[in-house]
Amino acid sequence: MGKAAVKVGSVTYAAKGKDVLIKNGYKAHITRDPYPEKGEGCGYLICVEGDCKSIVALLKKNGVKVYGVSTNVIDCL
Amino acid sequence: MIYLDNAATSYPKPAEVINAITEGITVYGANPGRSGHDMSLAAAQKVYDTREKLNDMFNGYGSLNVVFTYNCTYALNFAIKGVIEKGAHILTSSLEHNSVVRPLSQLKIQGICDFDIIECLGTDEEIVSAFSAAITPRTKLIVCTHASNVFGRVMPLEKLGELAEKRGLTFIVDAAQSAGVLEINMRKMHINCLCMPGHKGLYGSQGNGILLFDESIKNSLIQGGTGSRSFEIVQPQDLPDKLESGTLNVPGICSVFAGVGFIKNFGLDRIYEYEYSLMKEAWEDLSEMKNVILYSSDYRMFEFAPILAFNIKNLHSEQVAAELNRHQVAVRAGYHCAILAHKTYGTEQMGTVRLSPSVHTEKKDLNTAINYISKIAK
Repeated sequence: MGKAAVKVGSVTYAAKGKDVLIKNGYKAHITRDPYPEKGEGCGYLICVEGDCKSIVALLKKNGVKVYGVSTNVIDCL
Repeated sequence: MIYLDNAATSYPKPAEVINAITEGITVYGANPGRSGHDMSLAAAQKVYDTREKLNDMFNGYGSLNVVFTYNCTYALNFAIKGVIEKGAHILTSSLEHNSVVRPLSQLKIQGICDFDIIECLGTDEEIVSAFSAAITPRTKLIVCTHASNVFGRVMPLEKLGELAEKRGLTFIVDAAQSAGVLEINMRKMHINCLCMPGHKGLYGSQGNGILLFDESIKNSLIQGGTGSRSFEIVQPQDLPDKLESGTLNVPGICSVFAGVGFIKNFGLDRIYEYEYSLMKEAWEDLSEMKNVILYSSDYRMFEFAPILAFNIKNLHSEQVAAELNRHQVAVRAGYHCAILAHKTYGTEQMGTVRLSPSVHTEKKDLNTAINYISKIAK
């Protein structure tokens, strides 16, 4: 099973995303994005185990704006 | 003290609310949405859980569309000024609190919009007809209280919502006296923006307001730090950040969380039935006192929020309240920040005395208060 660290723009989106994922059977938690891209900052990650594409699709379907998926998954999880 | 001023703020608060406030300072004492440490994330989660709870309670448009404000007045200002566009015409009721009328008047003074006040003394059907007849091609918005904070009269919200929906108008509701007391279903009632205090019927602490909304709000009244998109100098458009700048009142939000839980456990229907029965009995007792003036010919269920206005002949309402205070009975008198309502009912000369109970009001205490009123009225 893959691991994903989904980037979102605010802690509220992170909480909503985590809530959506948990309700759909995923294990998820929130962390501050420790590796923001240049020009980014104040972002949060939803750390979750599962298929990355399915996870992102589920989040988007539920109104969570996804900014990307971090490659630093190990640090997150 | 016999506290009958719950329409101003509920007292006492449930024990779980008091504990939640302490928890808000101790367990959730960090700034939510600003940092990544555990306490900050825990505080953010608690705030989010409260949004969820409120969204569920009022069948809102999602937890992102729940914003915390200082009080209901701020929520109303955020809604009205966030929705309105230049040149618009607005309709409002003649029972509104100044928290609605003053923002509307300010917008009118600034030349941004104009508004008409619909007299609301008749039946539900007459009120809805009057609103309908006053709609012009420029009308964009109806702002209406759910229940008068002076006389308790419940407005025909669902029918007004249907009218607004049918005519393509935005519908903003002031639920200051009804949230936590009467059922409110935003989607069923076609409410676009619902404004409420957290410290009255929701049993939270003072300094709390809540705004639930759909996509109607275009403009943010306050801009500032949101803990998101900090590299941009313009306000984020993501919700709730667009409308929620600065550090949140976490202890207060925790109190609302606990207050909503208290309501759920007690049962909304039970709360209304109990409080209504108290005021119905008070209405019946007062109607037998020859020097007491009441402002409705009956006190029917669901026609009134648990609020009862009265006066005593030849006494100013403030005199009556002062006399009751000497007997440790807490009520509100005067104009209740709602001069339009007093003009509607013809009480602008001396205001009214208002009784407003909560679930914590005991029948024996109400009877004691009624006895004091009886003595003052002799």
